[in-house]
Parts: sequence; structure tokens; C-alpha cells
Amino acid sequence: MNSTHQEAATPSQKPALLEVRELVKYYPGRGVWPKPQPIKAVDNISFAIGYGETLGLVGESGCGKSTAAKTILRLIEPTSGAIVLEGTDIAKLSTSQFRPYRRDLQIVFQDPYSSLNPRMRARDIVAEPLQNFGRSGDCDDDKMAALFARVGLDREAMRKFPSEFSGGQRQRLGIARALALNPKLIVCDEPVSALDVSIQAQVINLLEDLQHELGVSYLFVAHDLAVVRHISQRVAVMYLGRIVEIGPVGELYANPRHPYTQALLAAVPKVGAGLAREKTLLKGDLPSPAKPPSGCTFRTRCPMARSECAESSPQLAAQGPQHWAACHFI
Amino acid sequence: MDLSLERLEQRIARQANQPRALRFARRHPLLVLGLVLLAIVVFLAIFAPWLCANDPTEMNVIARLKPSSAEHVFGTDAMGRDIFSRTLHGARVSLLVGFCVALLSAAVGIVVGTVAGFSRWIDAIVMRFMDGMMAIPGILLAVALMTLTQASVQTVIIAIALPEIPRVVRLVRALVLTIREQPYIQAAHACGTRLPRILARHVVPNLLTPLIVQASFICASAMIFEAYLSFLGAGTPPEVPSWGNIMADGRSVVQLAFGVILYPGLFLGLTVLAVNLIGDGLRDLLDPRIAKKL
Amino acid sequence: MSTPLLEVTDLHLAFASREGVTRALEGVSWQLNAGEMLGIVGESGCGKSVTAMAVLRLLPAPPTTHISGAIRFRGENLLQASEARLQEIRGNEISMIFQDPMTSVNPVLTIGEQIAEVLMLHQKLARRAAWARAVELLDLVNIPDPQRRVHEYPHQFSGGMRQRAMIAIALACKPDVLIADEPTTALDVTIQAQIMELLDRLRRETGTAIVLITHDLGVVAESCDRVVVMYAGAKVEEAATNELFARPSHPYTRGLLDAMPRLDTPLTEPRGRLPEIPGMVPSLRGAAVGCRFAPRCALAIDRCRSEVPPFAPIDGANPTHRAACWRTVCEAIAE
Repeated sequence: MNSTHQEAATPSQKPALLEVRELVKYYPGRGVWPKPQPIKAVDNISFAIGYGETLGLVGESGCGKSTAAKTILRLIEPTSGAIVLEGTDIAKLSTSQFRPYRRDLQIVFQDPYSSLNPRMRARDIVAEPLQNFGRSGDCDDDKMAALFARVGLDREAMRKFPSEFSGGQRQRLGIARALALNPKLIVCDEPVSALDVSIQAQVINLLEDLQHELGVSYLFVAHDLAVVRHISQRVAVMYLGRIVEIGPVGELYANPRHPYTQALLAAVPKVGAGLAREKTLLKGDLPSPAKPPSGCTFRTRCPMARSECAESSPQLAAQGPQHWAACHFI
Repeated sequence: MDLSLERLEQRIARQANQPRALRFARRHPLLVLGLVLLAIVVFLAIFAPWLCANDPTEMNVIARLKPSSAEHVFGTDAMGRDIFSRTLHGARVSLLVGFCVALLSAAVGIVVGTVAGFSRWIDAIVMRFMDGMMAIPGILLAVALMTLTQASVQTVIIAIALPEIPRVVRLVRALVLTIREQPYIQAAHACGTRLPRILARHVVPNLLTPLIVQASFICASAMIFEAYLSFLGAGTPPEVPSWGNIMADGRSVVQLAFGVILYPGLFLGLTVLAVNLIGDGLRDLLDPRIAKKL
Repeated sequence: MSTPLLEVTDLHLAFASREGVTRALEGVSWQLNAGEMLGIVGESGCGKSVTAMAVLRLLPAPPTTHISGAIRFRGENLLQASEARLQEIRGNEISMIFQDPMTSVNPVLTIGEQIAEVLMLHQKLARRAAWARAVELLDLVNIPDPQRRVHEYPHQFSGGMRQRAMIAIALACKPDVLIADEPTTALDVTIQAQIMELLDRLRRETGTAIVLITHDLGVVAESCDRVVVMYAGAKVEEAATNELFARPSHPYTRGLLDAMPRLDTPLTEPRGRLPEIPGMVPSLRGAAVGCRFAPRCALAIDRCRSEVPPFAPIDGANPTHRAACWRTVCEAIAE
């Protein structure tokens, strides 16, 4: 089991920027009687992100993708597992030991409205990370203006309050804040899902341009499969706290192995498919993470489920070069 | 339809061109009324020594219980003291008590409430203590404090502020609990901001708006409370002319000289009304949901 | 051609506030025929949701709102209907479902009570009959175990089930028209697929005509018969679905389609940039002096900035495919 995890973790021969091994986040269950089971928000996941690479993390709401992403930044404390950033396991560090590593790990949030303090000016918002790490010297007007220009905001924008910006501009502001410290990895937690299509394209292009210029890596968490396909080199699919499939983007989208990945791709509405469509619709809803099904957690909605799926939980198994999926029947 | 719309647009544009003060007054008439009333009272209180010909404490046995006259505008009380002068000087005490209580309870509330909102174990201790304080009737607490200590304006302020504090702490704590879940707090953590700085830059500034509104209501109720305590003889020392004291003095002579109770009572009512109007006005002004209406 | 079931004609809608007058709709017209699914697509602020609210007269009263034009339901102008008549129509002949299924149901009433209430109000059913019908309706919208579920509260339902329950409430009185305002935006793709399939099936089974309001072109492409594309309070293009996606003519429609990452384009390395629509949605203060899209349009000429383009067929061959553009895309390519 461990060997497959280790393999799945490595993106390629090169050493990875970030390696997540057997990451677990349990929340205590509610109630007193019957004895509550922990809620397994993230249940033993492993993956790695290379330098300058984008790993897409997709899944439906409640699958634990956001929790996993925030655990990496220790905005949520992991229950167990290792988060290795360039050789250092940051999950084991104390809060003060971890603090310097925040410079390398930044985040862009989903909601461009509530992730900016409404009482701070744009300039102060973007300058905050620099001041936190004693780099107030880098906060002079010209350097700030250059940072603003890099995300497509003009000098005038520095004096404004968040409420004076549109949704897309606010997201640019969030990106500028994440870029201020020249991080090595930016976790993008659904950065475009609150934006309109035309604005979404602008922000995606900005993120890609920044990656080309600065070589920053992204962990791109999203539920929109088409966006993830466009921006990622590799993609991991999560279901109820586990990674059910992970692989290079072309391979995973062209040849999805796990029935969940297949169903997810089939469910995406497509322009040009026409009215006559025959979809294999998934039955039912996502089970509650507090009471996950036994064995393979997907079996309650899986068209291929058989009796043995209830008994044992499938492990990730190699499907091709760097392509793993966790299912008994593939 | 377009015609009427264009007319409406012109009207809105005309209003936008009016002086800012006028526009503000049209939109928030009650707030402006409250501010004007309060400004008048504050002015009278500050310049009381220069506005009054008579000393508020000077007794004049000959001129007892006199009705209004050119010399004594509001008449005199049982000891022949000038009520006009006493009422204006009384405004100083009331305003001082009102502002200080509001400031004190807000300051303590911010500190205690914010800390309680961010630390679970402090929260457990502090909130039980506050629950205990809330179980004691405010008036009893204040009277007990006043009897235990030397009567002075400072002790009155503390005695009135003390029962207010638990309520402010509860409000602040509730606000902090919602603010700490905001993504911008998480964003601050993520970019390495330390906790004290998060509290100072991100939490407290976002608390202030609702707190200012609450503080203005506390200010109004503190002024009433002060009059209340003084009237009962448990407040400001009797030699200090506060509205409560003046009215207490007038209690026995109300049938002979109504003005002894009428004028300070009127001033108290108007001042409290003014402060409450300001509180209501600020709430509407600062609430984005109510804003923007035509 | 028979008279349409629901007909919106030259609808103008403006909201007045202290800052000025926002022209949310400027002369929008469309028709909905019996049994049809009409898609209205556009980005936030284009006026698509406001149109739906106007149909059911759910907007604030004047002087905040100024409305003109006509909304005819079976020939009856709803803009002139009395409040009593509107009460009869709402939820009975025309019903609506909203984006957020949690905020549009009452959390302290069971799902069954909410469905039964509608039935007792509009169809004058007895309590027992209404409850029996509620169970039937939950079954119709594929809620498992409807006998038990009918007694549950909205918070006991998952997001997808709540949206189904909303649809059940909306369909309780067998309405002629169902207006679905972003019905799947808050839902996951797999659940979205279920809901869209449900709407499609119900339309075929009950003959209810549906107005689907959404920002998602993919959803429209897969389910609607006709599409209206809106931008900044105006209709910019209208066509049968296949026609629209085969030959998008307005530069805005084209831009939207291009800006969407797709699952079927080949992956290149490095990835090509997504064609973006520069700038952002304009303010709707003041009357339009030209095409609202002109400032963001790569094809704009002087005329686009000075004259509002008429809504006209893009060529003689297909009179039902119309767009509001001085330079249809075809013409621009020919040059």
C-alpha cells in the first residue's frame, strides 16, 4: 500500500517542490451518544507538486479538496501525515518554526469579496505580507505600483478600498497579495468560480502568465473540470476525502479510469453536444462524510458496484505512466 | 416613460449638485436634528460659567422659590439658587457621565470581548463572570458601589459603567466570533500576520461600526441612570449641581416652584432624545442595507 | 404561427437610487411557446434575473422601479393585472424556482406542509388530498422514499434534494410556465445533470414551458430549444440553440464561447491563452448612446458608439436568427 502511495506521490524523476504523504484531517463528530465517529474530511491522501507545475484538485463540494488545500498552508491543522516542502516536513514544525515557510506558501481565496478586509486600502492589503516579514523597504510607491501592474491594476487602484473594485479586480488584488512575497507555491482555492465567464478567462490568463514569468507552482482547487483541464499539468480527483484518480491531464481526461471520474466528465454540459444526449447519470447524492459507506466510498453511486466493493477499500493502482486510480474493477 | 425617467435623472442630478451638508440633512433628518440638539447642549454646558450671571451654588435666602424673571430666567429653588445656572452646570455633569460611561464600557468591552472571542479558555472564564454580573440588577450594583465608596462623579461613572460592561462584552464577543470566521482573517494568517496585529488591524476596525451605535445608546441610558441615582441620593454628591440632584431638591417644593423640576427634566429629556436620535441615525447611516434608497 | 404562451414586448425597466437611474432593461422582447424550453443567458448584471422578477411582478414599487412595455400571458398584460389576479397566477399558472434552494424554502415547515399549502391555496384541495399529492410530487421529482421524506424539514435534505423539492413545489399546481432562475448554479455537476434531466423530463411529461435563466452556455446548449443572449440590459442575439452555437453572430456571444475553456479542444504545451473579453460590464447609468458592448468589442466602428444597433436577422436565409450588431461577425470576417 505504501509503495503505491509513494509512487503516486512523485510527479516525475525530478525532486518535487511539495510532497504530501498520507495526509489526514479528521474532525471530531458531534453528539455524545452513540459515540460519534470522526468526520473524515481528508482521509489519507498523497500527492506531489513539481517546480513550476500546476496540480489540479477536483471534486464535488464536500469532498475535502478545500480542506486538503488549507491543511497544506496549516490554516487547518492536519491530524496526521507529512507535508514536505523542499525536504522539510512542515507539518511537524511548531507554529513559530513554521512561520518563515509562509513566505513560500501563499493562497488565493474563492470569494473575492470576503477575503479582503473592507476597511483597508488596496495598497495596505497587498503590503501586509511584506510588512509581516520585515520587508517594509519593499513597500515604497514604485515597487507597489509594479506589483499592482503585474496583476493588471493601475497605480490609482492603490488608494481605493475593496468595495470600489469589481469582482475580477478584487481577485487580482488577492493574487497581488499572494505574489508579494515571491512564493514558490500558490494554493488557488476556487479562484475563478465566483467570477463571470469573461472575467474568469482574464484571471486564468493572468495566473498562467505569472507562472511563465515567475515559475511559481499552483495547487489549483476547483470544481469546474474544463477550467482545471486548461490550467493543470496533472489532475487529482477527490471523492469523500480520498483521491480516487490522479494522472497527467491529457491522459486523465482522454482516458479516465475511475467510474467517478468518468461520471464527472460525462456530467459536464458541453457546447456542441446537441440536445440528444445519453448520459450515464450518477444516482443519488454525495453521502455524508460523517457516515461514509463501508469499503469503497463511491459504491453507493457507482454503476459498476458489486458486493466486494462494500468489503474492502480499493487502493490507488498504476494505470499507465504516472496515472493511478483506486477501483477494484479496472 | 423615457421622459419621466429623464426628469427623474435630472432631479437626482440636481440633488447631487446640492451642497453636501444640505444633501446629508435631507437624507438623515433625524440624525442631523439629534446632532444639532446635542451641539446646543454641549455648547451650553461648556460655556455655562460665561453664560450664567449667577453662581450655581450661591444661596440667596431672600430670593427663594422665585418664578422666572429677568434676573433668574428659570426662577430659583428652595435655597434661592438660580435654576438656569444650575441646569446649565448640570449639563456638564450629565454629559461627562454619559460620554465617560460610553467610552469606558466600550473600551473595556473591546479588550475583554476581543480576547474572549479569540481564546477559548479565557472565554470560558470571562463569560461566566459576565453572566454572574448580568444576574445582579444594575441599580443594586450601582447603589451598593456608591454606598461603599466616597460619592464623587468618578465613582458614579464607574458605578454606571460596571453593569453596562457585560452587555458590551457580549456584543463584542459575538461580533468577533463572526469576524474571525471571515476569509480575510484566514488570508491574514496565511500571509504571516501575527495574532496581535490581526486583532488590531483586522478585527477591531471591523468592530467599531456596530460598537459606535451601541455606545451612543449606552451614553443616553447612562445619563438617565445618573439622574436616577442622584435623584435617589445615591449618585453625584449633593453639592454638585447635576440634573438628578436639582430635581431631587425640587421634589418637596414642586407645588410652589414647578420650574425646579421642569427645566432640568426637560433638558435631560431633550439630551437623551438627541443622543438616541444620533444612535439611530448612525445605525442607518452605517448600515449598507438601508443606504442608497431614493 | 400561434400566439405565444408568454410574450415579453419592449420591456424597459429602470431602478432609481440616490446615485442615479440604472437602466436594467432597455427594450427586451421575447416569446415563449407552449411546451418550449427557452434559455436566457448572460453574465451577472445583464438583466436576465430581473426579467424573470418582472414577469411575476416581484420588483419593488415605484418610484424605485420604473417599468414599461408589456408582458402578456395568454394575451393578458401582467403589467396591468391587479395584485389579486397576480396572486392567482403566481405559483399556479406561472411558477418560479431560484438559485439558492435553502433560502427560498421556509426552514421551519416540513417539505410536505410547504407543498400542501400551495395546493390548498390554489387548487382548493382538502388537507388529506393535498398531502397525498405532495407525496406524488416528491416521487415525480425522484426523491427516494417520498412517504417518509414528506415529513422532513429542508435542512434534512441535501442541496440537490432541496432543489428537487423546490421544483416539486413549483410544479404542484401544474403551471403553464416555469421560470427557473439559475436552478443549478449552486449545485455540483453530477447533481446539475440530474436536475437538468428532471426538468427536461417534466417538460415532456407535463407540457410545462420553461424559461431557463443561466450564465452557463453549456447547460443551455444541452437543454434549450431556443436561446436569448443578453448583455447589459439588452438582448444581443437570439436563435435556435443549434443555430446559435453553430454560428454565433454577435461579437459578445462569440467572445463568451471563446472565453470558456472546453473539454474537447486539443491540449497544447504550453497551453494557449484563453481569448478574453477585455474590460468589464459597463455601468447602466444613463440611456445607451450606441451599442453597450462597443467599448469591449474588437470589431467596433464609429457607428457602434453613436447609434444603438437594431435587432435584426443576420442574413436572409434564417429569419429566426437575429442579432443586435452593426457588423455581424460574418461581415467582419468577409472583410
